[in-house]
Amino acid sequence: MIGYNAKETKILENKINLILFHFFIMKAIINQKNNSVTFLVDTKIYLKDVIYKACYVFIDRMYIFLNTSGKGDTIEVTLKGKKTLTRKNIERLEGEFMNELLNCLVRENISKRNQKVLEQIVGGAMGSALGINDISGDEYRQDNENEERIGEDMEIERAVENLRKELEAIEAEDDYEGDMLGIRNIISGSEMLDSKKKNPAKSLARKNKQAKKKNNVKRK
Amino acid sequence: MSKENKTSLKFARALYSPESIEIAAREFAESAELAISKNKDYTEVLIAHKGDEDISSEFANYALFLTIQSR
Amino acid sequence: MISASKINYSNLANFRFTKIAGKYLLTTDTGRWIFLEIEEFEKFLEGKLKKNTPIYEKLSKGGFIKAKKTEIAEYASKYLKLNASLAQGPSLFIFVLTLQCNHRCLYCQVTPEKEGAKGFDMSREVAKKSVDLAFRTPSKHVSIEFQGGEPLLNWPVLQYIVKYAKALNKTEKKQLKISLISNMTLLDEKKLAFLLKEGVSLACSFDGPDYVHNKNRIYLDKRGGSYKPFIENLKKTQKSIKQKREKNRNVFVDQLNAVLTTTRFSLPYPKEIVDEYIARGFDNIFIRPLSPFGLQRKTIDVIGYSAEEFIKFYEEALDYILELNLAGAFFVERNAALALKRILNYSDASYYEMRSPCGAGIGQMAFDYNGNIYTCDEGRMAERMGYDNFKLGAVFGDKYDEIVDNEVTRTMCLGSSLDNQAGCNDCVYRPYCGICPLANFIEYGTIFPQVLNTDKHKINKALFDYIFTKISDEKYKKIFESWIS
Repeated sequence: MIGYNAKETKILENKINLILFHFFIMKAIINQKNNSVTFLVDTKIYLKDVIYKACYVFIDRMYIFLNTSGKGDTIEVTLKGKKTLTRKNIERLEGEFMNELLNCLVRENISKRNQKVLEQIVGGAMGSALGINDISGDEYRQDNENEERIGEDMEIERAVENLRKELEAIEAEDDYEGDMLGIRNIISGSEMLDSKKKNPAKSLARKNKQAKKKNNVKRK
Repeated sequence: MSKENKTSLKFARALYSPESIEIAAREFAESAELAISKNKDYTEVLIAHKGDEDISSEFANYALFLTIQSR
Repeated sequence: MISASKINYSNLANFRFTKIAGKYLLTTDTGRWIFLEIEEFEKFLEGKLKKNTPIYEKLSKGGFIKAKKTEIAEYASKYLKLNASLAQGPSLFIFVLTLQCNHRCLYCQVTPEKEGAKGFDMSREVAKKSVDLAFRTPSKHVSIEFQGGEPLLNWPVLQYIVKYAKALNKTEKKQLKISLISNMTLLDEKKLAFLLKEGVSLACSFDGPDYVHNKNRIYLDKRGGSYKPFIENLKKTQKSIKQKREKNRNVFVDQLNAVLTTTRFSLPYPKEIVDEYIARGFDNIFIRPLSPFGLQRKTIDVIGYSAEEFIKFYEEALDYILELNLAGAFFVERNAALALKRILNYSDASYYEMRSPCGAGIGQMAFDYNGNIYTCDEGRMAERMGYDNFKLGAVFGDKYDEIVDNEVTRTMCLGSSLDNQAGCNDCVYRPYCGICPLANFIEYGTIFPQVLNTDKHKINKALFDYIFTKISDEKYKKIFESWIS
């Protein structure tokens, strides 16, 4: 092209081809007779698993057919209404599907990023429900209006101090960067289920119970 | 069969597990006669509908459902 | 305009933020929050805030600045306090005494059976087994809540459970609370006397003035709305509670609470509904929107509305309630109060709808009349609608551990963990919010919906936006504090 060198021309041509590709090739094809819309999904952006997840959400609402496209890294998706749809509603199917695809993609990334945190929290909560994590959370419950809260702040301060000492003791083993909140030692997951190591949460619970007994004795 | 009514579906092996298609075929055996042939890239299903109803979309959906479930 | 290239990450702890009313609101996982002016926020991100300034101290104390190793334990303790109920185990046990009901409320979540229908009552055997299982919880708290249908229609088993639970508790020594959710129309003096004597807390549905209440809450036998008999029994109950309190000053007697379910008929009358509550002796209201369960799936065209319409109604009601409080009255909106407990007290309100993960199976469970056990009350409602995905087990045959530790519980935990939802994970209100995977499944066909498009998200966000917009004004902050003291 005039004004461009060979390299620049090549780059520009590739860009134009990509745009044309997306416009003509990726453009959805509406088949009103078949009550369907067909379009391509880029598998470099949306991995197969994510596409399947999006399909799963819609599978009871529409007919879905997947095919290899033979056009680069893409999968051909055909969505067909279960009832007869207007042209506009057929077009909408693609938009809805792509929205869900994006939702699944973002969630996939979040799940991977937060996997450890989720394991800790879910594992800990389930462990507590099974009575495996012996953390006494009673000090924090306030649904009984008659419960005295005078000792609560003091108990929390004592608990924090004890926890600090215990965490300092095992700090050397802990991955500081990977466990910023120190959650692992408070509500820990699978390690707690079969761990015979010293359990800071159990120690905390024991100490809280002892402190509570002492307070009750004092009040009497 | 009251009427000759056939549909051919090609399922890419990269996208639909052949085992899921076979399971789906067994489930739909009452509604249609299904003949499965396989090659390297596709599982082809020839559906001869028994009634007037075209069950090919339902079949394809079910095959996809089973494929996703099996992952 | 903040330039991403200038952000100095080395000093920044994990926080989320948004812009509200021209300022930046920041929150941390411990529930701490702070408002920053735009310039302050920019300096904070760029690491240019001077130490030993008040704002730096506030940010440091709130956990917005990367903690030193010595501060991590404190941070963890704060996180634990905000999420304390996660560490307790199940404490709320719904007992569905019967599916019979003498009403057909337009928004009924239950899909009830007619009064007199056979085969829909909890038996003594199921009741006993359910109580036994409930007391297996590691939690020190056991809260038994009678639901239905109309629970009073299975009065003998209600009495049995009250007696049995109390007898069992003599050895178990839990903090036992028993409550009854009733439409109040079948509450005669004998029943009331028993309930008050046994310390059973009472709650009811009250939709406001008769012209609203009677449209929503109608008798099954086409007698029309039940406002009049409801009010009569309401007055008797409140009088009896007052008398009992006066006679027994050292004994805790719970007040009667009411819940408002908002329908299209409610929308024009936020003030009138609040006024009616006050006129009937209530000092609080729980305003809730419709849920996707039960009969309201069929009546949605008549009673339904958009999220935006509900938000407008709710904000008008809240504005009016705050006005009343400013004028010296004490009146609480309980939904807001539950959120405020997390926001101002940084503590767990033990409200499963504002918790991550939610209470399904790990904080609560529902014992259905037939002995089936579900993740929560909504789980058994879903079963009535044809979705049996939320069953945990059965009282006969399944042990406590098997009921809690199963795929359904795990799935519900993952589906209600805000750290696992696109949109929630990065939301500034993540420390205070919650999500119901069950409602999402019923409404959107998945426990991982496009959260930002859901009505519940819009409503929750509107509530938090409202609170945080008001909270900077000291006069409103004082009112909010009085609601949770």
